[in-house]
Amino acid sequence: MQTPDQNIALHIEKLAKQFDGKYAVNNLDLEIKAGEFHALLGPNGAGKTTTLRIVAGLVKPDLGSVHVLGHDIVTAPQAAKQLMAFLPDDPLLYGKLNAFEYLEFAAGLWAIDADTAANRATDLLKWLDLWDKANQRIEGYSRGMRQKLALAGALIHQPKLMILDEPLTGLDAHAARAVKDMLVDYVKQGNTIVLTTHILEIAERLAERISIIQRGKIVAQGTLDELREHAGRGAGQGAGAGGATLEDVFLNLTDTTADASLGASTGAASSASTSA
Amino acid sequence: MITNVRAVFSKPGTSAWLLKHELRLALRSLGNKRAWAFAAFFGIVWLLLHALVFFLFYALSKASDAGVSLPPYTMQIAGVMFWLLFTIVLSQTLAHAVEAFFSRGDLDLLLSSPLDAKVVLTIRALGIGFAAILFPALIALPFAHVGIITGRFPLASIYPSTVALALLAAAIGVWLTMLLVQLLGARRAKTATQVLGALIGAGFFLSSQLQNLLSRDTRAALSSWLLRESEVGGMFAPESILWWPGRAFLGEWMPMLTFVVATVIAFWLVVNLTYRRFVLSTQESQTAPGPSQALAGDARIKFASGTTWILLRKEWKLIARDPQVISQTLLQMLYMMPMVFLGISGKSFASLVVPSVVFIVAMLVGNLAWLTVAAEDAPDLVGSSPLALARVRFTKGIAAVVPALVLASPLFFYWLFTKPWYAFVLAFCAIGASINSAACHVLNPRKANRRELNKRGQAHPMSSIVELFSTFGWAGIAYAMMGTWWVLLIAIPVAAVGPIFSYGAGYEARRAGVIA
Repeated sequence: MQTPDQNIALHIEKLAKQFDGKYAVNNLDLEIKAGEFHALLGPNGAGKTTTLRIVAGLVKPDLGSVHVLGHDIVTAPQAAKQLMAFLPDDPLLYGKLNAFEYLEFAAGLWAIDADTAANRATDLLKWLDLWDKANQRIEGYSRGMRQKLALAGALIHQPKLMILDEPLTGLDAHAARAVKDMLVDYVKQGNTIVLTTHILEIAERLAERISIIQRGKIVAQGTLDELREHAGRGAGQGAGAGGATLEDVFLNLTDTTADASLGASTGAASSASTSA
Repeated sequence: MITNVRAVFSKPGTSAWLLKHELRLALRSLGNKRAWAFAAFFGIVWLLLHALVFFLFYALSKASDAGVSLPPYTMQIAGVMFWLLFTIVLSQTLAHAVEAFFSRGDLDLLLSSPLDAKVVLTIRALGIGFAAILFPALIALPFAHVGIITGRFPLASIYPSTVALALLAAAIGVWLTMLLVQLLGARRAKTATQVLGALIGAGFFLSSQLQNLLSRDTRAALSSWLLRESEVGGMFAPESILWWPGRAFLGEWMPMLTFVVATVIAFWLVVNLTYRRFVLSTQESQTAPGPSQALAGDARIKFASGTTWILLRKEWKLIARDPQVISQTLLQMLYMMPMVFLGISGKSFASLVVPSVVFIVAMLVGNLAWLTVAAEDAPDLVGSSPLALARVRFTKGIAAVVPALVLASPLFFYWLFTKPWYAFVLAFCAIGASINSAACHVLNPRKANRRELNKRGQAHPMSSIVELFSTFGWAGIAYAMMGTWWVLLIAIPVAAVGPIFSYGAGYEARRAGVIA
């Protein structure tokens, strides 16, 4: 086993988790460097959310290890969580609080100094266009406003690693563009983002590297070009051509027949990984 | 015939079809988990109730054969029983109305369909009435069944009278809800309806306790006035129209017919007079923003500091802004008031008041701790934070204990200067019982939905029973300290059961890092 270091934002090794005797995550390995924008893609039920929830410390793994910037999420959860933020796909907020109160609470959980938290909250609410509604109770917010507020809550302690599960769900075009720009800037500042999305165009445009997960395992990993090449080799057809979109590649790699050919070969995943 | 009825109820888009849907929702609101076990349990209880009624009728028949006549004021007693039942059903109706009009979230779907809004309101009101009448009907119907079997055919009037009671309660419940919506707006009406329901539910109990507050002369004057008005021609005479609903249940056809017709008319009037308000209010409740004060663009905001304080503030804000909690707490406080007055009046049985107050305080803490610990709205946020979960749960327990103790503190301070021993026992036992109730939740964290406060016992019956048992233990300790010291031998072990059970039952959840 490698010794985790601070240059690796997320190091997952032989991770496994079962629910009712079925593997949601099965012997999953993943390594993401600090400062990387990484997309985790996979069909419904592939194990993306379970993996992210284990990383966030919300679910205990059955086997394997997860290190966040060098801190083991199982043995040193406080240190790991201090550096990270998790935004679930359908964030549950407190309907009876307003946006200020929510952010005050979120900042309090990370023990952010009150004045600093108030300043950051002001900036975030203005930037996310929630300032005018900040005194209104969250129960009156639209789906998109809730999503933006949850994002503000995740950003208020300025995490080094952000785990985002479908972060753009429910956002209008303006808000989605603003959030995408913010995420790119955030990574440029040296921070790391791991994101799941069903909108492949987002992964294609934003992510430096992509991992494709199916049946609880990483079946391919690399840059988009590497995945194209890998998919073409695995399927032996046009998906590997230079003009193939991520959608082509994704469908090819997660197709049941393609899956059989990639099979249990973690070698398939590692071939792209190593070449990356 | 049965096929025809089935066809009517299964034809989509009809009123009957919608009614079927509504009744299904009303039945499921009683609890989904272990539905068959509950049904079997109630089935057995219901059969036993039939047997009990059968023996009651048998005893009455024997007494009648022996020449024993009915006690005086039988009609009045039946009438009072009806109105007592009515207040309980109405209270339930208001609770169901809040759920059906403001919480269920399906009115957008229904009102955007081609169904007439009046039909939607009618069916919804019937569903509310049905849900509220279900348990009273389960108690009343055995009288009809046994009556018919034993040849007392007029008792079949219990069927239409029960339906009429449901219609009346639904009509008044819907009307009151819509009136509150008109007066206060949809958002405030939600809270006000909950509180009104609690007040009505406690109304009979409270009025029955009023006599404890009256002087002996006033009580005597009131009694003689009641007796006078109960004679022929008086307001409460047996033939008074006030008692007609009660007489309808006893099988008198004229009162029954009048009661049924009157309630049908009342229901029809309410639906026709309020359906426009219903459409507007439901839209308002879905779309109206909460209280808001616009901020200037350059306004500065100020946050509190200290993680523990921020956690406590958040829990207290959520408690204070939850209409269901307010109504439940208010109800518990209302039940406490007569005892408080008894305690202050210094009567001989005041030694029972301290244990009762301890019991109610502990029950209140149990409810609040369930809300703060189990019904955490944002478990992902709390769980992914670097705070130790044991600390979060502990703070949530404190958040539950403090408000209940604050509510009990006026009584403590009153006794501190008048009966210091009472004050000491109250302080010691209320704090102990509160910590006990909170510990039951802190040590055994379970996930729950805030909206299910009213039926929190259903999800984890064993934990709830143990918590209640333990609370009785603390009331017993208080009773022992008021002079019957030997009770401590039983009360202390009983009080200890809750935390010990919770520690064991919650071990895995705590180890797995469950927030709640």
